[in-house]
Amino acid sequence: MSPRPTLSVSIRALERAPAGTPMSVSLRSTRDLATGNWRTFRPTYVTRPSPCNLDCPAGTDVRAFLALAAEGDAAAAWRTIREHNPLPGVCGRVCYHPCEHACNRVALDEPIAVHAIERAVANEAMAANLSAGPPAGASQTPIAVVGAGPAGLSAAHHLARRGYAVTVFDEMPEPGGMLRYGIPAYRLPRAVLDGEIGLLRAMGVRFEGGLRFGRDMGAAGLADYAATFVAIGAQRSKRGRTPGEDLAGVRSGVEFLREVNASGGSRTSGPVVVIGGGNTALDTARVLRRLGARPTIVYRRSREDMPAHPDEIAQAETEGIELVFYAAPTAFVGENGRLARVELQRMRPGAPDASGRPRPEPIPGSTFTLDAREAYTAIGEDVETDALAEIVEAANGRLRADRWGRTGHRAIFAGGDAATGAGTVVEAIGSGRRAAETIDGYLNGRDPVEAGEAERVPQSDVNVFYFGRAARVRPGLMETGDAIGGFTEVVTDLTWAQATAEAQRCLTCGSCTTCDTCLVFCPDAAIERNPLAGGYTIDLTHCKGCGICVEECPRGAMVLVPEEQR
Amino acid sequence: MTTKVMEGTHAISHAVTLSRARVIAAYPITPSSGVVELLSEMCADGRLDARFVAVESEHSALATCAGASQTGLRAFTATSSHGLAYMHEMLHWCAGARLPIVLADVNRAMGSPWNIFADQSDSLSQRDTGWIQYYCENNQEVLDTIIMAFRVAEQVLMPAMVCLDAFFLSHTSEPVAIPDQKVVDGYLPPFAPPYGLAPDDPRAFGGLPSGDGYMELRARMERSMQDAVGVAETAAHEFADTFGRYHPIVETYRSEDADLLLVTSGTIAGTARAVVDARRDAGQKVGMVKIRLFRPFPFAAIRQTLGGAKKLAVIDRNLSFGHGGIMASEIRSALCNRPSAPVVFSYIAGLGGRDVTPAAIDDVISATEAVDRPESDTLWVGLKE
Repeated sequence: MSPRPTLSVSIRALERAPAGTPMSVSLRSTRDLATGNWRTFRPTYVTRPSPCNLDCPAGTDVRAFLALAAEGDAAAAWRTIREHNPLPGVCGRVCYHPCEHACNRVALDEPIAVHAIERAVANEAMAANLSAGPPAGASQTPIAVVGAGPAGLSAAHHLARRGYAVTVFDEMPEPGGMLRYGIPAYRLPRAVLDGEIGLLRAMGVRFEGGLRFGRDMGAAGLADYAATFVAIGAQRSKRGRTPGEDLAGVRSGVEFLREVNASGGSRTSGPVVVIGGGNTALDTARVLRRLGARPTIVYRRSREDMPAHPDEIAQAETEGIELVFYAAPTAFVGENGRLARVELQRMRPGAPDASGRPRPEPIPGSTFTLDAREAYTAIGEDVETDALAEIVEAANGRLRADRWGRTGHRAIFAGGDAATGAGTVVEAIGSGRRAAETIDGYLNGRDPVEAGEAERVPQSDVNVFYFGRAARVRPGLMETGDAIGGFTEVVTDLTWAQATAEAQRCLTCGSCTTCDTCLVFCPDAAIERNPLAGGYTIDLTHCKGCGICVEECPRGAMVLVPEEQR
Repeated sequence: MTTKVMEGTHAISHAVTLSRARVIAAYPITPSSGVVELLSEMCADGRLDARFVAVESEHSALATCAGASQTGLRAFTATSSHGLAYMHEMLHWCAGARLPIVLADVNRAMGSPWNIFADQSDSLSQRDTGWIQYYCENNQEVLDTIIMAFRVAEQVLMPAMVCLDAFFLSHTSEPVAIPDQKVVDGYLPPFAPPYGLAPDDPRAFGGLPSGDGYMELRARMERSMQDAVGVAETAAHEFADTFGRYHPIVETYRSEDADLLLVTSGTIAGTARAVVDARRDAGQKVGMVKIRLFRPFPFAAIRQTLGGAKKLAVIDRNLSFGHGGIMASEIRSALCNRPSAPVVFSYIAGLGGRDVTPAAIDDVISATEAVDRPESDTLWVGLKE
């Protein structure tokens, strides 16, 4: 055996090896690894406009009220809607809900039934007898509103809550405008309208009915008011150029609806013809059906071209109303001075017109006849600008005003259908709110601030993977036999439980719901809940800017910002 | 023939191209990524007429190769460490299906803890899957062995794995002779399996064998593996005749009349040569034996080259937990029942890429010389205090 050599490295059996930790484990916290200095992009929480919010002409914070409804808090949801729109009960029923058209949920299944939830919220509020709340600070400066339709009511609400003393004048005895004298009760129960107008009264808004501007009052009557908002709507039925329009039995649909809504209609029977394809035509025909007639709607374009809402058209058909497309009247023919039949001509789509739709053109030699002792024209309404000539200029058949309601005359503002021509309740409500802001600014020396259009959350930023499929709620309809027997509301209420469940389908695009997805996915454990302020804090010493949180955020409420651009 | 300076990974890429592989499927993993990076470029620019399939996992990479090979195409993949472990199921399958796929494994340590450096435990823990296994000492040997591996694998219809040390070869540049394509074509004939997956000759492969034939198929696999030893020896001789470089399945270095033989594999062999030279210069009877073919295990060559020594110092850059150095234990089993067998000293060294320096190897020789028998079945080299 050689002597034991001197070795440069240890060579030994394991029994003589030193002991130590049994595994690879850092003896200090991983927090010692300051990975934040790798970062070139920084994740940031943002609130971005949801498509529904941007597309609501009234400016409703749809996303916020849906979130509250989803929690079952009807009162808070109701107050959130009323921040922008004082008529949720009305809009929940008659709005054509553009908010739903852009809903990002279509990437998964179907849009949220926002209108049905809004209606349920309003029902809950009414049942709970919720109050409008006290106005903010009482300036009591008097403001006049001419026109008690949706634009006037909206402006009155937003002015009253700012402390102004608002008086609303209207030609008709009761406030509501088209909501009361145009839209039939089976679509908008009067108790709902009265309830919401009652809240305005409770806020101190005064209503002066039976006063028509230009007839019963004039510019002098406004002298005591610091500002006037004019929103008289479009009331005068357009006239066609069809021979025989002056015959007894040929009427304007709008006037007919006003009469029925004001004093109840009288029973009728037999075939009647309604000319037009908008909501007035549909309302006229469905009211006539309820009064005993057998209406036929004649429209010169296709079903798809009808301005009326598809749901309304479907309900009208269910109720037994006949629809004739691509036809237009050529003559109302009388016997003994009264309408006996309508002569019509078949139409066909021609070259596109200014609206991009095919312009209907007559097919020669295609005339046909419908027997009818009554005919109603509903081909649109004009603004009675002449009545206001004393205080507001007109242009293109409308009151001349900018988006903010400014007319060019100091202290005179105009809005709603009379100025915008938009023709919808929700546009009128938005117009009234903007005018109220403008008037408040005018009286306090401020110009309206045009908020830049923020970028909406695109569908591609929504991670539908995180949401389960759930069918959109479908509100029920009254039995047709019962529906046409009276003026009871046709579309039935959701239960509050149904509404809450429907609201829970909302993806809450562009707004953090503290769902913890970012926190769960962060590979650096750099995201923590913020117990004081809510939401999260990002530990920038450790966030390496990988962007996983932004990628995984289910609702596009995070963005990555380049560090040099911060 | 041209000579270029290249990393071990690229030596593999060139060899695969010279071997005319038709399908390459791989998932990148350090330190093997360079192999398929260059191959993907070669496929893209037309230097290699092959389909490059980027897959989502190593399991799928080998499954893709299996499909390609089953249709009669020469298939190749490269991986390392955890990637090879992820292929484990498919390794068994490819061998049982008799698919002569060639796989380059860059020997890298297995986690936990993470380690990307040289260690043979990844491939040696796959030794029982039915794959031929070669271990290489330098980049020229890597290129040459890939070409040989295709030939041997296709002759015996068993898949082959060519192993090289992480970084010491994969990322170290050495001059490598690239043979001419025509010469390679003469050495490596086109792949012509007896059966192929083809629409005009439909067959089912890998189904439950009728008449309880599983064990017989296993016996045929084992016979093919036994045959592979001789096939590999012939392939090495013919390679030498064709290319002028001889890579025997078990290589000896100054081992004649040696009392003490270092036995090792991979890049440690290269270092050991210098230590042996120094000892021989000092007049000591020390030699070295490098194991290149580990599966099938070359029993005859091992007994012949090691049987005459008094002591063996086996250096393993690998470990079977609860047993010891894997090569040492296989050598012991090969020498079992031999009269006057040498005393086997088993050394564990260089795990996880720790340097095995000339001084450390010299120490191994000194420690082996110092005692008649090892104080323990396994000895550890260079553990820190």
